[in-house]
Amino acid sequence: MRSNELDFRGWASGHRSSLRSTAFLISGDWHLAEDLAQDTLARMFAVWDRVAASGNPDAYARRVLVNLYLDHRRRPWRREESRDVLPDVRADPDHGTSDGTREVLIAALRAVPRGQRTALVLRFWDDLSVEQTAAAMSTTVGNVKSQTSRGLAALREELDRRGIHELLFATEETP
Amino acid sequence: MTDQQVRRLFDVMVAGAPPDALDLDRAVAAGRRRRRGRAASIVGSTGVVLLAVFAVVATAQHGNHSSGATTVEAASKVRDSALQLRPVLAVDPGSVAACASLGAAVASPASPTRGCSTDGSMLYTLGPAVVSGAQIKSVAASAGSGGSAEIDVALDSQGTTALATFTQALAADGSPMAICVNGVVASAPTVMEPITTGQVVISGDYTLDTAKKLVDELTRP
Repeated sequence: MRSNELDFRGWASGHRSSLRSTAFLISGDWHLAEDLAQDTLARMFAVWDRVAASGNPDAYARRVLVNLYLDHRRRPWRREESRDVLPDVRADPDHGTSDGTREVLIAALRAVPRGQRTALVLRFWDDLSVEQTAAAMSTTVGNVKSQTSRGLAALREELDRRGIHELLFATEETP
Repeated sequence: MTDQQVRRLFDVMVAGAPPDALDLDRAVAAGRRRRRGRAASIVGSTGVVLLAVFAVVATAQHGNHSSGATTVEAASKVRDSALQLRPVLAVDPGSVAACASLGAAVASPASPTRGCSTDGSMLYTLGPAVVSGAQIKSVAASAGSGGSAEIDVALDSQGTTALATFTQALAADGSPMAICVNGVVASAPTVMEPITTGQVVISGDYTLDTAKKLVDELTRP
C-alpha cells in the first residue's frame, strides 16, 4: 500500500463520522448523507496528494461536500438511480427520542432555506469561522454573516411554529 | 437563540444516526478511478485551477516521443476548435444514439452546441465558448510535481479576462464548466474558485508521454 493511501485512510477514519453528520444536517436525510460522504471521500482520495500537501484537507472536504450537495439538488435524476429506499427521517427508531422530539427538530431544520441551513451547520456544528464557512460555500464573508443571522431567525420561527421552542428553552431563558 | 443552543439541537438531531455504512475501500477504489479518468477539479488558493481530467482523449497518430525525458516540451499553439471552455446549460443522461446523432463536426466557438461525455453517459447542452484555442497562448507538457505529469495552459490577456469573469460567475453558484476537446466534453468540473491568473494546469494520472500525446492532439494542425 502506498504511503499516500495510508495517509488518506488515517485521515478518513478520523473524519468519516463528522463528515456524515455534517452531510445529514445539511441534507436532512441519512441515506443521502451516506452517499454524499462516500462520494466526498472518493473525491478526496482522487486529489489527496495535492490536498494533503496544501495542509488543509478538512476545509477542502467540506467544500467538496457542500458542492456535491448543491450538485445533487441540481440533478435529481442522478440520485434517483442509486436510491432504492425512500428517505426515512427516523433512521433509527430504537434510539429515537420516545416523544418524537428529534423528528420535529429535524423537520424544523429542513424547513430553513438551504443556504441559511448550510451556513448554520458549518458555523455551529463544524465550528468553522465565518471566513472558513465562506470558503466552503464559495461565497463572501458578508453573505455568510447574513445567511447565519437569517438562518437563526428562521430556525427559531420553525421551532416556534411547531410549538417546540418554548418547551426546549423555557428553563434556560428565564434567569 | 444562542450558538450554544443551536449546537445542542444539532447534537440531538445527529444522535439518531444509523450505523455508519461508509466504505473506505470503495472510496479508495473510486478515487483511484477518478485519478485515471475524467474527474473533478481542485482549485488551489492561488487561483490556479487544477483540472484532474481526461484520460487520454487523443486517438490520433502520435509522433515519436523519447521516454524518460523530464524537460518541458516546447510550447505550441492550439487549434481554435480543439480546446474550448463552455458554460453548461443543461445535463441529460446520454445514450449511444443521442451521441452518435451529434456527428463528428466540431461547433465553432461562437455557437451553442451539444456534446457528450467521453463515455457517452452524459449529454450536455452548452453555451457559446468563453475561451477557445485562439485565446490560448501556449500549451505544454511538463513533468509536474509528485511524479505525475501535467499540461500547462497559458491564456492570452483576452482569454484571462474572459476566464476570470466566467469562473467568478460559476464559482458563485457552484456551476460546472465544460472542457471540450475536439467537440467531446472531456470533463465538466465544478468551479470552486475564480481563476484570475490565466494559468490553467491540467493534471490527471498522466505520464510525460501521455501528456505529450494530449498536447499533440490539441495542437495538431
